[in-house]
Amino acid sequence: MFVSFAVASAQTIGTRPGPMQYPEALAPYNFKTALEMAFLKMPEAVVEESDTYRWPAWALDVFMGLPENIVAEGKITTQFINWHFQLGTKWQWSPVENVRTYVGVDYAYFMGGIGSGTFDNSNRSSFAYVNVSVGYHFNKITLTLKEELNYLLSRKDRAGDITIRSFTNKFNGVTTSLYLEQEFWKDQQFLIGIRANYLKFVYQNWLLFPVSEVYYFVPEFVLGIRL
Amino acid sequence: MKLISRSGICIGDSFIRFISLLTPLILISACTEGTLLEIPDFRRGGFLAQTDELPVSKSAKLEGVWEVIKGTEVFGDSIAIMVSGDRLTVYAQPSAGYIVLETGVLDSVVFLQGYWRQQVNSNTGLVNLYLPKLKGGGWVSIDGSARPDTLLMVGTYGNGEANPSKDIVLRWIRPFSVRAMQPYLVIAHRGGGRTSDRIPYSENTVELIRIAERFGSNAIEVDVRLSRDGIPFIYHDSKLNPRLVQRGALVGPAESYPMKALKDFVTLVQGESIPTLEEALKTVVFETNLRGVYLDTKTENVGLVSKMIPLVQKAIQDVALVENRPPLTIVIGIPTQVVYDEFVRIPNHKLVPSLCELSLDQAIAINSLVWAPRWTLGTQDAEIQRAHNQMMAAVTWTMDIDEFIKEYVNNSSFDGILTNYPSLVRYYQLMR
Repeated sequence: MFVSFAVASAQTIGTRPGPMQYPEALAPYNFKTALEMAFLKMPEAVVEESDTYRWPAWALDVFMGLPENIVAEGKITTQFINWHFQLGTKWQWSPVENVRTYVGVDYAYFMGGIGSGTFDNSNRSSFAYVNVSVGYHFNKITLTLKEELNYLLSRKDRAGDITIRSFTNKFNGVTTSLYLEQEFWKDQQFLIGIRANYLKFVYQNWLLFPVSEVYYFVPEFVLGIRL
Repeated sequence: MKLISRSGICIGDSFIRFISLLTPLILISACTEGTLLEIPDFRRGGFLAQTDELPVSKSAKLEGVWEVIKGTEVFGDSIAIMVSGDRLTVYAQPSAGYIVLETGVLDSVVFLQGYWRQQVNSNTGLVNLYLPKLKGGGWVSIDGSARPDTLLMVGTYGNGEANPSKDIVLRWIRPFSVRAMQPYLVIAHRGGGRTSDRIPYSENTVELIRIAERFGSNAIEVDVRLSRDGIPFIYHDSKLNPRLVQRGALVGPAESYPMKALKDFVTLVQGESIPTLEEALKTVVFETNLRGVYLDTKTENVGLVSKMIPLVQKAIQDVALVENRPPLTIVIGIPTQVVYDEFVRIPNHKLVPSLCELSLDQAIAINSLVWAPRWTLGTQDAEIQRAHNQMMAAVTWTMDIDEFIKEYVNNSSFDGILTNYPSLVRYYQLMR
């Protein structure tokens, strides 16, 4: 299940391409791009008789350097019936040699919809992700720990013409991620990681989520590669 | 072990170790569901152990709508209190909250003790309440006592097993309205609720059926399957999966095993065994005052419906054996066209009590007692009127969203709602 692959490229101008999630500085207006693939396992309590493993989520992740050690990030994640658009900025800081940090905020808009057979359901949600990353650069490997607070800014579910529920501003939980990145092919970087989501609402499974407001542990396994 | 990429870069031991570490970590953590919730209990019976028992008929004097003077942060501004099975239950709106109480009396003071829970999350804790002698305690406990102008309940509640320390004060406002007292079916899903909602027992068990009324339901839905040796049993999923059963010797489709194997080798997540339909119906008849059972046909195995009919007939006959038991209606669910087609092949099927989830015309054609459309199809007032004209009840499923429960209870013609949160349906029904 976890065996996968990804392809990538890097377009860092004037600097040596670096890892993707490792919180390094990026020269102003330089880019780096990665393709990610994430496998998510839903709790059986939520999916009941459906498979706990979902179609993998594919993500295109783009970083752009800005002045004053600011890095902008844009990310599109899709599972075909789900589209998650994310945009944010991070401030980079290097406290000691080989240690890099990001502190940032991302905003995201989610669109989910299914309209075949007896289904005519949709979800529109928006999120804010407040995040801190700390990375350590070993000889050829970087290890990055990312902690993220997840706020559900708005959520609206519809079934046909009926708005099933609509609300705003709820704390949705936390995500802890651990990424390991290493040069893999020439200048390309290969990423492998886990994301431990502890969330009430996981957007990839908006169609199955019940009314209950308990936190579910939802692990993700991530593979990625710099383009 | 070292791998060398085509570019000659060594993928070191640490990388391999990292992958080796991650995979089992994910697999192990993914198995932890966390669907159990410890319902708090007073040690050694709490203060109630020192009181005399208060008969339910006397506790019923406390039924009505009460104002929450203190404790609004958990229980909202107003609550409804009703005798529910063998307990007195307080129904609140926020997060489908409720308090399940036992009662006792000492020196004309009525004591109430139990636990509170919010059904849509995991918040729970202990509750202590009492009615002072001059604020209703004497009136409730002593026959012929005058009713005071003000009924007041005071006490404390807490979180988890902690000793209750936060104030709660309730004041009686009014009795239930005439509309609230009209018959209304509050049908608890899966015998009382879903395992995933951290209910006290596993879904679809006799243990849960016994206490289903405490959460406001007066009817239950249970899921019926057919064992390999032809015995109807109660279980939701098609497979024996970790969501519902503890790890054991049997795996795969539940219906591929004989009933004895399911009994001997399968343990549900909270330690119960899978009940047969016969056991479940006996529990309903002899150990509850439930008024309705909806047998949801979860399989399309030919033969299940005809196997259910004699068990239903036997249970209905048994009702007459129980003194003062309210009437009981048991209906066989017709959820799909395949089950419908099997049903119409049964001789005299129009005499078999059924609940049809298909079109109203199909329900009328088989003389169903209940028509049950999905709630997202709307309130369907005209269709419900047509069903009522045929002496057919109409209920809808499975409704869990607060705003819609309120809307359907107050402004639709449905005769009941199937829900995972019966306490919330009961709250809105009693507040009408």
